[in-house]
Amino acid sequence: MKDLLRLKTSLTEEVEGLLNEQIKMEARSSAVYLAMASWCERHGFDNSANFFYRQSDEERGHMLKIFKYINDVGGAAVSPEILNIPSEFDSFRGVFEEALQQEIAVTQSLNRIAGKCQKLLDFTTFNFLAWFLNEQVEEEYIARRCLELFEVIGEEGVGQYMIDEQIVKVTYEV
Amino acid sequence: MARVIFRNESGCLYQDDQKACFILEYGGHSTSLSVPCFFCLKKTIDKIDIAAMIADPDPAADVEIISLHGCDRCFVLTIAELLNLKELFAGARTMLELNSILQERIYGTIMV
Repeated sequence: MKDLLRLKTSLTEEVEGLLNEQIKMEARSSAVYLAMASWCERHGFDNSANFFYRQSDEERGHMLKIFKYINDVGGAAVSPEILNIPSEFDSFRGVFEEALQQEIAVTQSLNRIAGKCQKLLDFTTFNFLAWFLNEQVEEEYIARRCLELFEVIGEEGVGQYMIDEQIVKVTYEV
Repeated sequence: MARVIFRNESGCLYQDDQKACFILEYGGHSTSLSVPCFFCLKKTIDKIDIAAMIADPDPAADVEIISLHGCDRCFVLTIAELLNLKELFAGARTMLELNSILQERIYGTIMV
């Protein structure tokens, strides 16, 4: 009997499901970053707003990369439904704290999928995920450095203005 | 020649190697399903919240209508039929996975 299952796709149903969940997570991250950009813009933090607009685009790029991969290997990528995106944040610092938490959650999720791929001997997907895991090193580094600016500069006086000035200068160099 | 993948009291799912499709025999009708259509139908059935259908007092909630692209049959299913079909597809899915494992073992052995 022909193996119609593998002739159609090299993805297992389990990995396809996990990757679709990751698509949802990346799409949610993109939407949350957009909300953060809006909040920053409304509160006069223009540089931080631009930073979050860029982050939002980047997360959408990640989502599309996974989306394309699923379809390329014969699976079915699902366009995610994203609900309950916050529009208000506690503080300027709170926005960056949430950004870091979001990145940590994304890394943990990618690690879980990579672990599952190893268990299922799906090294094709594992190899595909390696790029994302490397990317997360940069994402977490940048989020941490941004948050550290609040400690280094302090928020008193012109502190918030200075932090906003420095945010765009945070880069990751290997 | 179509081969039986899985059969239960309500129906049977076959695989047609020549046409590379599945054939669903259910409710006295035979329906040809392409591979994507097979998975789409399975996912659609799996997503239906049967507990919510049972809890809903509206008579309209007792029936689910499923119409898929690439499938010439429109399924109008009661809760009992949904449960039977769910079991049929789950069983077929397991057998297809088993076939994949067997194929992998056979070809893996030849390659070594």
